[in-house]
Amino acid sequence: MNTFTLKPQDRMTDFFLKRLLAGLLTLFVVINLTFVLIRLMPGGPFDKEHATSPQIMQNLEAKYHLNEPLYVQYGIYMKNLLHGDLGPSYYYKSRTVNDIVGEAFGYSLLLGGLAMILGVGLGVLLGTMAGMTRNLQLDGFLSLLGVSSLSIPSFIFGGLLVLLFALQLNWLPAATLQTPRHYILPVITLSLVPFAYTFLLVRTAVKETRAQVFVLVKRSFGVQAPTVAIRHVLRNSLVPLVSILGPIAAALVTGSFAVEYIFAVPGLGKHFVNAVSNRDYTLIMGITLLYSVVLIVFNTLTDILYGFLDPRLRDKSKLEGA
Amino acid sequence: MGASGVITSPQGASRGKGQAMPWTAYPKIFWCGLFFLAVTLLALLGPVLGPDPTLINPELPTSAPGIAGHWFGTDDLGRDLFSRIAVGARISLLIGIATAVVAVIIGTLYGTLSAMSEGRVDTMMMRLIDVIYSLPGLMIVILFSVFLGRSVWSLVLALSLFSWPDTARIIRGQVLFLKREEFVEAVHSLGGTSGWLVVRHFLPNLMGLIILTATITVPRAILTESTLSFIGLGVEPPLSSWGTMASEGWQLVRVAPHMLLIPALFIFSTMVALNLLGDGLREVLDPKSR
Repeated sequence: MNTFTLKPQDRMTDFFLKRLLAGLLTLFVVINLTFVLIRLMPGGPFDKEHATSPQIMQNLEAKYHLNEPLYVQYGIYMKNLLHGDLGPSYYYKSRTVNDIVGEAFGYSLLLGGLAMILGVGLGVLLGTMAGMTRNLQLDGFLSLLGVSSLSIPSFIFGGLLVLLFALQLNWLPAATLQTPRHYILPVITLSLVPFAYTFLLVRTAVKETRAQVFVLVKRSFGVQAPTVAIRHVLRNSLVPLVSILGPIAAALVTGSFAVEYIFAVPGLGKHFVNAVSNRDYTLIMGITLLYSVVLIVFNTLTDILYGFLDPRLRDKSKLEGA
Repeated sequence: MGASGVITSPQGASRGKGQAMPWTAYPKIFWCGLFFLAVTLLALLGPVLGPDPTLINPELPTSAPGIAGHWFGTDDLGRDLFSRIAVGARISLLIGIATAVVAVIIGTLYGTLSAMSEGRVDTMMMRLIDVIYSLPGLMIVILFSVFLGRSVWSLVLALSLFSWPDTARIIRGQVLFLKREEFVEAVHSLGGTSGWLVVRHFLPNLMGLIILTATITVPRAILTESTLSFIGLGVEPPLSSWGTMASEGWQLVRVAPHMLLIPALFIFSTMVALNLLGDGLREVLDPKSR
């Protein structure tokens, strides 16, 4: 690669072009894989328990083009998709997938965003504490907390929170998202995974940075310990944190399935589970695609942020090496 | 390092007169390994120790733990929870371990092949892994396992699909490192082929990392499987894993919280033990953390 001859702005364009291409490739893989897997699943969207008359069945299938050969269905889907149309829902007959997904995405994004802020914030705070402290008991206690939060599945944590704070103590509502108070338990539950990942990484990074010579030099120049901790140790330790924000976002998706189930949140995860049971082909496709786009955008953003925080990485393409 | 892969203690020579026993030299590995062994034994022998897990007793529905003959109480049908936990452990552990084995075999082959081929092939193989990482994993796993019929083995297959790339990356990195060692030149100059080099020299060197990645994969697979079972997309009814039991407990959480708490306790403690075991093994086996 002779990227070193390129001007900085060319390098930026180069980076975006590469990411755009990689993103489109990923989306293409997702569309095809999902399309094939959905059609391979046993059962169809209109297999109801009570027998529908063959005539109605035929009409339904004709209406949604399900009687056409697969490649025609694929063509129709792709054509609509290129126009931004995710198609009609097969289960909620009066609604389009765009409509359902748009509404559900709002809930999932709000919950996920709040959980990310809470989890990463708390993880950085406690991780720095555990990394900086010379008190072995405090470090041991915090580390136990970190490993525990990595080990407890979201659905168990959420279930226990509901059992304790909603059913036993009656302090907080148990389900749905009617008022801001309703958000407390689901957000705490969902923040568990980002907290665990962040905490363990920041703790290790801070311990490693603290041991480096420049920290001692700063201290010997008379810079106060808290200033060194925040300005120097923490800043250097946060760079690796950015690189795991992508995996955290992916893990948040997993967590949201259980959390939306427990708290009866009409978000993407809950809709996905229902859509799979109902064989709602277009809704399954729509949600999977949306999640893929979110993950791609998120990963691209973290890569940009990474280059911003660590100037050494700006010249190199992140895709190489690894 | 011992030729047979025996882990030598960090104190090295000081061991010998019974000073550094395994539980003091490697407390994490020892105690967590012991706990995991106990859970495995429970899975194998539990149904023999307790009453029949399928025995329905309408006179004792949802009785709390501690009742005579039922250490963990009973479920809504009066079935013994201890026996059900033991049977559930079979499914949960089987899925976890089998996924790890499949993932590690594929990952090791793929990683080694990628590192040995270098150049364009290596780049292409790593790009494929990048693509897999950027897929919405849980959703594909769900679709895949529904298509395959939601049995134990279809779940194992679906879970392995997204577990092997981690192993492949780690193994590739280590093989690339080993390839720069001097003994490689010696093997080649003595007429050894690449295949011989990999099987005879690299594989023993990689054994530690392979065990480590397998240990890390088990809790992840158990976590995903229990989440799927909890939301009703895991193993199907005649079978039940800990996740299925937690799901049933959640439905009845107002009436019989112990039906949620007991499987929750088993999932949690097994996950802690496996994660700490992975930590302990990493300290000993991962060349990067030395």
